[in-house]
Amino acid sequence: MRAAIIVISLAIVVALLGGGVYAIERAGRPAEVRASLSLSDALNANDAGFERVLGPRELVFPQDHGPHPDYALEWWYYTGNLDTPDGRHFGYELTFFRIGIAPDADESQRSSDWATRQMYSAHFAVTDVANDRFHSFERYSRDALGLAGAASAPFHVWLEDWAAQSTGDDTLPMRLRAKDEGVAIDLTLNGGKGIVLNGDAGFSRKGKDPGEASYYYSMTRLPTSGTITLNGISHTVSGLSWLDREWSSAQLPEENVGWDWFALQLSDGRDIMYGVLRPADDNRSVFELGTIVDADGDYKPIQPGDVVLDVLDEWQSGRGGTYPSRWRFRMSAEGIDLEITPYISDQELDGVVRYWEGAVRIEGTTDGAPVSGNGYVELTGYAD
Amino acid sequence: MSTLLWLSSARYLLNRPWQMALSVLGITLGVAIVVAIDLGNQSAKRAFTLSGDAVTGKATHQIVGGPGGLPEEFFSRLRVDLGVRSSAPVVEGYAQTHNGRTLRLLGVEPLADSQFRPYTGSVASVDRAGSPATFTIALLAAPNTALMSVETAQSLGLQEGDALNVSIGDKERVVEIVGLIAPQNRLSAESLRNLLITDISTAQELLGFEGRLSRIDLIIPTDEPDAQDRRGDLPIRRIRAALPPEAAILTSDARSETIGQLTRSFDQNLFIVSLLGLIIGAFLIYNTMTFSVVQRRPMIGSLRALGVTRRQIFALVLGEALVLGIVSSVIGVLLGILIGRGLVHIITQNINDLFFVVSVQELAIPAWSLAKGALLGIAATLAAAFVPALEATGVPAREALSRSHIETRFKGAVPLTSAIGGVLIVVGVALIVLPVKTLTLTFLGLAALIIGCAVLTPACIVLVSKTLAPVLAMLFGTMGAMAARGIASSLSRTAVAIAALAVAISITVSIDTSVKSFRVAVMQWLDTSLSSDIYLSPASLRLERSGVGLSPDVLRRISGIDGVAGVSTVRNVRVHSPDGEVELLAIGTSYDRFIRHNSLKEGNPELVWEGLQSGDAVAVSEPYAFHNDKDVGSTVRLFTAEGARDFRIAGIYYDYNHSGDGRVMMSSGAYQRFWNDDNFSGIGVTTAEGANSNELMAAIERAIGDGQQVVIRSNADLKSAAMEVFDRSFAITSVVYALSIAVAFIGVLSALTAMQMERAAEFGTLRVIGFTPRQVWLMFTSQTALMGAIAGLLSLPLGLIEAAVLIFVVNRRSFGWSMDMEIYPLVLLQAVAIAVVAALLASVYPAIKMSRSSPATVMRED
Repeated sequence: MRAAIIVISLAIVVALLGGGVYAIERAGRPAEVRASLSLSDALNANDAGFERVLGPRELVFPQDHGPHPDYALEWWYYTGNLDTPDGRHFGYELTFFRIGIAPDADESQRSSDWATRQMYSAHFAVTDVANDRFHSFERYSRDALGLAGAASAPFHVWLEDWAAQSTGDDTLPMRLRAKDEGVAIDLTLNGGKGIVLNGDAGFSRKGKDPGEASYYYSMTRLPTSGTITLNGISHTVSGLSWLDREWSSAQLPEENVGWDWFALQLSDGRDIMYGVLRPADDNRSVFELGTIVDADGDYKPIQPGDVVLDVLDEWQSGRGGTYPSRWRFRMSAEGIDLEITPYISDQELDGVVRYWEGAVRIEGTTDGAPVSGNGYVELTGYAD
Repeated sequence: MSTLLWLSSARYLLNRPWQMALSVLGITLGVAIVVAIDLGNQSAKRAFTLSGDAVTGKATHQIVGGPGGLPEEFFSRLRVDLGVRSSAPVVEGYAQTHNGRTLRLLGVEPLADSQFRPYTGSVASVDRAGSPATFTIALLAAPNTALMSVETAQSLGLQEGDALNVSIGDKERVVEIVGLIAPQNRLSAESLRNLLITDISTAQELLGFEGRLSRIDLIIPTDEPDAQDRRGDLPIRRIRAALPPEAAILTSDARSETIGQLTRSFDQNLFIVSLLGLIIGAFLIYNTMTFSVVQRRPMIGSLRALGVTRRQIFALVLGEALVLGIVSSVIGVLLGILIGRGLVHIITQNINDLFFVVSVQELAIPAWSLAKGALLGIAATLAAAFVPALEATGVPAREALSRSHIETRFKGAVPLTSAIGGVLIVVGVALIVLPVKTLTLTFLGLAALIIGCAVLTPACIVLVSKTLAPVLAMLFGTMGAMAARGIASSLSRTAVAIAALAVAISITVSIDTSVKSFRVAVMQWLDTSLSSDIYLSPASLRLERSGVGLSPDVLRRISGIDGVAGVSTVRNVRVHSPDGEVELLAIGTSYDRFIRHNSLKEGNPELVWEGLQSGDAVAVSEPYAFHNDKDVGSTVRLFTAEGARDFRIAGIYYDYNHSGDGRVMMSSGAYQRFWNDDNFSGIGVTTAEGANSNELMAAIERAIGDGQQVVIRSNADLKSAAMEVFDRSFAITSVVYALSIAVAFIGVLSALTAMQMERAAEFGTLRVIGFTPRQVWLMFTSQTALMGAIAGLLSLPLGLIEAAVLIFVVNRRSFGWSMDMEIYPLVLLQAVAIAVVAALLASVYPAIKMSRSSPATVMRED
C-alpha cells in the first residue's frame, strides 16, 4: 500500500514532467531549412529591360569574347577529353555563367562597392573514368570587388579562384584553372581551328518567335595540355577542348522541357555541334540546330532532318529521373554513322539545376571507314 | 495494519484541510520561485543563443576587426587569393522603427550565405508569385530592400512591398520589404524575430559602413583546424597570416563565451536569490511537519501501544512528507511556469537595457529546470520532515508524555542546539569569507549561517520572554506576564514558527537593504561622472556600442554655438584583445574637468590624466580589474589598427555600468589614433555662465538640423533615464522580494494558526479558572503579536548579515563592484510590521473558534 502510493505519486510526477518534455522537444526540434536558390528561376526572371536577340549582327573579336552586360544571360562553356601519357582518360567541364539581375540599375548612384548589376555562376566537373568517379562543383558570386567578372582583352573570365585567362595579349593560348575539395585542373588551351559562327553568322534561333534566339559561336577544337589533380595527385594530360560562347535575353520557349546537345570531335578531323530542343508535347516536332566543321575549319549549318538520332540505352539517376544514355547518330548526307557512349553513366551535376553533362566515347564509320572520337553531351530537363 | 496506518494518516491530513493547504502553499511557493527564476534565466539564455545563432549561423570561426570593422577587400583576398570558400561577409547594425521597436539589421551576401544562415538563401515566401531566387535577386538588384519574417512583418503591420521607415544612427531611412520569410517552425520563427535582412550593399549604405565589413564568418572543420582538410580550405594559420592588423580570428564559441560572461554574474545573483526562496519553503515544511507530529502525540502513543513499530511510525511521517512534497512540488512547478512567463519579459528587458537587443521573448521550458525544481522541493520536504519523524519515533508506547515533560526536555536541549547554531554560524562565515570567485561556496556558507541563526532562535526566545515578562507585567498585569512566559513555556512549538518567520522576513530585509544601498552608490557615481549640463546621443545609445554613432560633424556644429562653454565626448566600443572582446571607453574632456569629475578608486588623477593623454596608459574599471586580476601598473593588450599593443594601467575607477567584465578607459585622442574611428557615442555640453539651458538645447537642436536623429537631454533627464534602467534591472529582484514576503506571510499564517489551534486547550483552562472570553481573546492575540514581534526583531540582525553578504561578497564576486552598505530604519520597521501583521492575522481564526467554544468541550477534547 505504502509502496503503491509512492509509486503512483512518482508516476504522476514523471508523467507530468515527461509529457512536458516531449511537447517541448517536439516543438523545439529544428527543421532543416532547405537552401534553394534556383538558377532556372533566376534565368526565368523577367527579361524586361535587357537587349533582345532579334537578328544577325556582325560579331567582332576580341571584343565579343568579353561580357555583354546588356543581355540577360551569357556563358563561357569549356569541355574537353584528355588522356595521360599512359592512356588514363579524363573529361572536364568548366563553365562560367553571367546572369544579369538589374538591367536598369545604375551602380554609379550607389555608394557601396557591393552594388552590382550582375552575378556569376560557375560549374566545374571532372570525370575520372578509371575510378568511375564524377566530381562536380558549383559556385555563385556577384560581380563586385573583383570576386567575379569578365573582360575581353586581354581575355579573362573568373569566379574567385576559378578562371579562364589569356596567357598573353592574344586570346589564345589561354589558361584554365579551377580547384575544389582536392580536385583541380590547370590546363593550357592552344589555337586550333578558329572561330565557328553557329546559325546565321552567329545568330542562332531557339524557337519560332522573334527574340527566341541567341548569339552563339564556338571554338570546336582547342589542343589542350596541363594537369588534372585528384586527391593531391597530379596527372599530366593532353587532348582536345571545346569552347561554346552564347548570350541572349530569351528564355527557353515555354513549350520546351529541355534539350539534348552534342559536341563531337571525330578522329577524321571533323567536329559536329548538334542540339535538339524537346517539346513538352510529344506530338510536336523537336527544334533542331547544328553545325558541322570539317578538318580545315570550314563549316556549314546542319539542316533539320539531316540527323537521325536513336536512343539505345537509358540511365536511371539515383537522384530521380531517367536520362537517355547511348545513342546511334546518323547523317546519311555526310556518310556518318556513329555510336555515342558515355564514359561513365553518372555524370549528373547535382547543383541548383540538376542536369547531365558528360564525356562520351564515339565509335563508328564515315563512308564505311572506321572512325572514333570523343565528345561531350548535355542533357537537360530529365531530372524529376 | 499498514493500510490502517495510512488511512489514519490520510484522515488526519484531510481533517485539517486549511492547515494542509497553507503548508502545501508554502512549499509550492518555494518551488515556484526556484522554477520561475530558473525558467526565466534559461529562456533569456536561450534567447541569446537563438538570436546569436540566427546571426552567427553555422559559422565555426569569425574574423572580426576593430570598431571600424574590417576592410571589405579582405573578403576578396580570402576568396580569390586564399581560396577560402566557406566564408561569408556580414555587415550588422540596428535600426529603430518609429514606434520604438529595435530591429537587428543583418547585411549578408545571399550568394555566399546560405551555407551559414539557411534562411538567407531559402526565402520561402508567403506570396505564391515570388520564388526564393527572385527575392535573392531583388535584394541584390535594388538598393534599400529588405526581408523579414512573416511574424515580424505582421507585428509591424507590414506586407510584402510595403515601405518601412527606420532611424539608423542619426539618420532617417526607408527600406522596402521585398519578401517575407515563412519560417518552417517555431524555433526559426523565434530566431528570426526582429531581424531585418538586407543585401550587404544596402546594409553598408544604411549604416554608413561603406568599404567595411562587421565581420567575416568562416566554417572551418574544428577537428583539424590547422590541417589541410578535404574541402580544400586553407589552414587557419594562413588566414591568420593574411589578417589586417586590428583583425582577429575567433571561434564562434569564444564569441558566445563573451555573451555568456556578460550574463553569468546576472544568473548567479538570481540563482542565489531563488535558493533563498527555497530555504524559506523548507522552513515552512519543517514547521508544518513538526506540528503535525506534535499534535498527534497522543494518537502516535496509542498506535505504539497497539503494536506499531518505531520504524513504521518513522516511515509514516516521512511518507506523509513525501506525498505533501510531491503534491506541492508539482503544483509549485506549474505555478513556477506561470510566474516564469512573467519573469522572462523582465529578464529580457534587463538584458536589452544592459547589453544588446535580444529578440526572443518566449518562455523556454527545459525539462531539467522543472525536474530540478521538483526534486529540490521533494528533497527539502523530506529533509525538513526528518527531524519531526525522528521525534515521532520517540513517543513512548502509552499515552503521550505530559506536555510539561516535553517542554522540559526541549528546553534542556537549548544549550546544545545553541552550541550547534554557533558552530554553524562560524562555518558559514568561514565559507563566505573564503577568497574564491565561485558563488557556490558562498551560498553554502549563507545557508549554514541562516540555519545556524535559526537554531539559535529558542535561546533568543527564552532570553526575550524573560526580559519582557516583568515589562509586560508592569504594563498589563498578570496577563501580560503570562503572555510573555507562555511563549517560552511552549518553546517546542513557538521556536519553530518564530524561526521560520524570522528567516523569511530576514530575506526581505536583506534584499531591500542591498538594492537600496546599491541605488545610492549608483546615484553618487552618476553625480560624479555626469558633469555636463546637456547630453547628445544617437537615437538609440545603448545599441550603438559598436558601429555608427554621432559624426564629428555634429561636434563641429555645436561647438560654435553661443552659450556653449565646453564640450566633452565619449566613445563606447568593443575592441579585441588576445582574451576576447573588451569594452573600451574613449573620453575626450579637459584637464580641469577630469581632475574635478573623475571617479578614480586608485591612482593619482594627475598621473592618470598624463598617462591617458600620452596614449601609453589606460584606466580600467573596478570590475575589469577584479575579473582580470589587474592592478595599477599591470598592462592590457589590445588589438589596434597598428597591431597588438600593450597599455599600462595608470588607474582604477568606480564604474557601476554593467558591461560584463568591465571596461577600459583611454583618451579620445589615443583611441582615434589607434582605431581610426572619429565617431562619438555621446557628447556632453557645458552651459556657459548665465546661459539658459533650455534655450541652449533648442539652439543645439536647430544647429543639428532635421535630417539627424539625435537625442538631446539635460543632465537631470539623463540621470533619471539611467536610474530608470537601474530600477528596471532590479525589477526581478522586486518580484523575488514580493514573493518572499508572500511566502513568509503564508508561512507565519500557517505556522501560527496551526500552533494556536493546538493550544486551544490551554486557553480553555483559562476560561475554566474564570477568565472572560474577551480576556482570553486579548491574551491569545497579544501573545501571537508578541511572537510576530520577536520574529521581526530576530529577522533584523539576520537580514542585515545577509545584506552584508550580498553587498560585500556576492556583488563583489559576481560584478566586481564595491560599495557601502546603508541601513534604512524604514526597511527594518517594515520588517517588524510585516511580522506582527502576519501574526495578528494568524490569530484571527483560532481566536474566533476559541471564543465560540464552551470551556467544557475544550477540556473534554484534551
